[in-house]
Amino acid sequence: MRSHKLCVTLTLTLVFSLLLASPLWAQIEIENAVISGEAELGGLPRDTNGKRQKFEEYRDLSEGAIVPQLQLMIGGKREDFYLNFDSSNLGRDNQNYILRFGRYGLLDVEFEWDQFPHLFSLNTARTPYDMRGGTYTLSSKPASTAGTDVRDWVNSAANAVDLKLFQGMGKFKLRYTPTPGWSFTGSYWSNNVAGRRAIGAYFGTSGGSWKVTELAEPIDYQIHNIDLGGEYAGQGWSLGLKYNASFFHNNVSTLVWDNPTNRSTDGAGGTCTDSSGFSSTSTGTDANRGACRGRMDMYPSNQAHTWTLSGAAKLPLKSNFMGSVSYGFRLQNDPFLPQTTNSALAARSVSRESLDGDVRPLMVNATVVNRYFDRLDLKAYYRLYDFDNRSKKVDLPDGRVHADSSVDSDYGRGFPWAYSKQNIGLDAGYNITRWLSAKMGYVWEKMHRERREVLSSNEHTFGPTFDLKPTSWLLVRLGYKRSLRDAHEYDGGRLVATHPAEDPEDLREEVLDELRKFDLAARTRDKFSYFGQLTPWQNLTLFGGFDFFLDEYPRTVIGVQDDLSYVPSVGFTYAPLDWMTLFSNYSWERWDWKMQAMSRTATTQTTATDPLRTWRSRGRDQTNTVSWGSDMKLIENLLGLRIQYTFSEASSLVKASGDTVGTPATNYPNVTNRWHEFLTRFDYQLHKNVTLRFGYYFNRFNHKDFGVDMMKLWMGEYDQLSAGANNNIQRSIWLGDRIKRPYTAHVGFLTLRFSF
Amino acid sequence: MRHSVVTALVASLLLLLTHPVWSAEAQPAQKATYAGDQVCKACHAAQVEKFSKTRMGKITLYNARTNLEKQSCESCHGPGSEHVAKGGGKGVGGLISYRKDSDESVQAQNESCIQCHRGGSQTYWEASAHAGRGVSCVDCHTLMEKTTDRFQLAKVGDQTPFFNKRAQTEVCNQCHLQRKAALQRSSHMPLREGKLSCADCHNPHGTPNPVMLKQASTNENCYSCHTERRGPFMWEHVPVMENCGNCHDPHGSNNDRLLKVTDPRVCTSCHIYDRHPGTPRGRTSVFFFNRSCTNCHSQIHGSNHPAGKRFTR
Repeated sequence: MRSHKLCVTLTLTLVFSLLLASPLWAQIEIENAVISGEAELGGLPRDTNGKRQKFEEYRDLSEGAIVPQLQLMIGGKREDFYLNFDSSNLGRDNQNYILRFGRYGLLDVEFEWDQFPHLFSLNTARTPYDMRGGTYTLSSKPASTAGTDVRDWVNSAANAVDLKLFQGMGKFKLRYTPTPGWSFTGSYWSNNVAGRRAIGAYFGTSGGSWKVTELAEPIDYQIHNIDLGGEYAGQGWSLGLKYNASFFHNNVSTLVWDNPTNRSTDGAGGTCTDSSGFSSTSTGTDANRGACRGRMDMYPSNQAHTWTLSGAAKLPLKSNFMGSVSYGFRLQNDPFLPQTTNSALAARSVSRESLDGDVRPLMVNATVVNRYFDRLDLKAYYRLYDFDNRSKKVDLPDGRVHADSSVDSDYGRGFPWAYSKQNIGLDAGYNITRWLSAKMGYVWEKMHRERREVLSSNEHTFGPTFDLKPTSWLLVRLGYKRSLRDAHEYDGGRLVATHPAEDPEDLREEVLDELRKFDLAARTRDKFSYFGQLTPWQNLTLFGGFDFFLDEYPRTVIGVQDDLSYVPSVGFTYAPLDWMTLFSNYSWERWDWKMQAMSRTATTQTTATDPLRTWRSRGRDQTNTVSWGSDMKLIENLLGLRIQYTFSEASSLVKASGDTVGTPATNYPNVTNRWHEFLTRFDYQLHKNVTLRFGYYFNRFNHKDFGVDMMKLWMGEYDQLSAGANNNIQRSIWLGDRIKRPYTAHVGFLTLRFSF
Repeated sequence: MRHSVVTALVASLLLLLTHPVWSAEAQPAQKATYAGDQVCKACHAAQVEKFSKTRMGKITLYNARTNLEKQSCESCHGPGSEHVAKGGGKGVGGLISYRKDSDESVQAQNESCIQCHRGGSQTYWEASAHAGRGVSCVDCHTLMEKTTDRFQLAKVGDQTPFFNKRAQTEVCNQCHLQRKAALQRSSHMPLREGKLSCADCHNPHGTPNPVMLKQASTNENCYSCHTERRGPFMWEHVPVMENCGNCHDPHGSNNDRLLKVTDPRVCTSCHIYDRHPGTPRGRTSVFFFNRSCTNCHSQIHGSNHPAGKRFTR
């Protein structure tokens, strides 16, 4: 079958090549228009083994005929108007079409259709659920959660399900410039995202009872976006106003799924009975299996509106002012769901029917740049970003239901959170010589947060940059920045009281005093960057870079201790001969992090750090990326060859030690992946307008991940692991979508490219 | 004593900087006048022919509306009468040159572009990091021949059925080598497939926002596409609400879902002692297996379910 398809593809390509090589294909002139274009079509034979979800993660490389590009351009003989149609990968899942037309300098109109897949898992995941919209039902249930019962039941009841998303976006853009000063812009795009992806769900009350039920979440999103703008640019000034509206609509607002461990449907009449209890034992009765079904609230539909006024003006003394103000609304008011589907639990009230979510982000910026002195560049700016959250507080006076299984009777309350950020920046750049400039920058950042552990923090960033261009063949850029963030008032016990009568001081007894969260804690940051480019001869360019950053948290006892990253990169482009160009580059990325943690005792939290329960963890991510290739004109104007190869190898290692009284910390095996991509492509010019393109593409990917490698298809072989350590996994239902297998792909291609 | 020294230093610096030698006012004004594009064409016919195929060529040569546009070649290179009078040649007559081997100052080159390209996405150019570091417009854009359908970029794309190196991304990769390498990581957004480019999130001409983001905050940038995560939610995960970059690296990662640190460590960076995360459990634990913490806490970006405080519903 495969060879038949290949035959058809090759024959078609040959026929087309003969047809298209005909002299009829020349640039066409019709009255006042000139028509030209390009088209490429051919075939794509391939041989792959392994899992193609990674191979075709965002692309469609299925075997068969292919039209990589089709382009049509119509232009006025008087060069006054244009109409361009451009498309790629026609008929495939990643196809794209763009139609543009307009009059030069006056009007530009564009329509675009773009689509692409996002594959998570193909032929790997399976689920026992019958999935209809947001309602997932089971036609049978496992005999018990003991031993291998769950696995056996899944293997007999489940069907394969592919997890993938598909995005299709239609865009319209317009730019109208009625006069040189005025311009108006408008755009609209609509994006539909549909498919399925994995989502974790569970019933239970505590760690020991968890039985995860992974589900294939239904995705059906519709997004609409509108931009409207007008701007006037006068002599030395400009002013523009923009409006953006963004609407998100989720067509599946809730997900309801049967609880596989509540077996009461097996009784007479097949009616499921909710249970107020939930047992952690593997052989519990139906009376302790929680709700018949769970219900999850999917992302609520929402909308956002933003107005932005921005402008610039030339000021005296060679100064320029730039400023903008934007103000918006983010609104969300989907009705709340009842707390649970579980009729065996007493109904718990919610103080509101919906959130009335209302966030008003405000951004104000004013920037002044001065170049009064020839060699001195000065810049000063102020920026405010205010995340003003006016959403309503929601009270749960009767407490909260937990995972449709149990009730926490404490008064509950959901709060709106808000923050604001202010920056003042000063830059002074000085052109020491014509080829050397130095700049000193300073930025002060003030953060205000509501209710968090740090209410107010300051960060000061300063450092120099140097740009050297002593000759046209040498460029060096250097930069260093040091940041100091304080968090003097870090109060780990500043928890929100969830009960009107609750004493916040009582809550402190549940908080580890010395924990510092990395996004709030006192921090020093050092950043260094280097980029150099050397062109000793016109045919040789050498380049290299080095990026370094180090975050340290000097007052953190428990929490992230430091993050360190450095990335040296080198490369070159060399054309030793008129007909040959060689290129290569290499990067080595390394990121180390270190954290210190403390385990709790079996039942209680402690506010003080216990050295015996303290444990440390270090991580190291490394990536080597190398690519090389060559462009060759083997026979001038007749035969060209491109070769390129990219190899990336990455590893993530986590080591842990400590905790002498609890469960000792353990290392994790390396997570690794390797990616090879090789392309060789010949371009043979059959005719002045016709080019035959053929070649070979190779792609291989290997991946090892300790977290999923023990997962087997159809839930097999978990029982090979120790039941004690693996009990929760055995009792759970996994989709298996994260099973990653290596793949190797060999793809040939033969296309004909013609222009007219 | 210290005050005196500082005052003297500041005064000296001010005197030095206000010296007329360093002031632009002291530069002698050019006397050259416009010669007209027909004069340019007489010697540079091939260049004009190539330029006429570009969008800018079509506007300035055939559809000019402003006086500056009507000068066509000289609208960018400056008045050419002296260049003509002196018989032409490289660097003769004070024309502004954009060649890579020219000694023209970046500022002079860029000012020429800004004459027309001063509004819209270029409004903040003067204050941008690129302008501040001496990046020239012609480092990223080509003027004299048609390169890309849009934006006349200095790099051309390479579109194949297998990958799509978009010219916009290739231009940025010239200097941002770290980002170039990150595109090859196993967990990535579809940049190497050509469905996104750097310019979808950043405006290289400058913005009033951090790291030249197009939107006012990191999250608003992400919400442009990931609108479902915009909320607001009844139960917000506050670090998520503040900055997606606390957990994700949008440029590429070794870890699934663009996580900066492998799970569950990404969660235990903060949730260190509170209930179950505090125990350094082994790899066969449900806390680490498969999706780790999100096996249960799947609504980690925020929940609007009244029972979703722990992001499980």
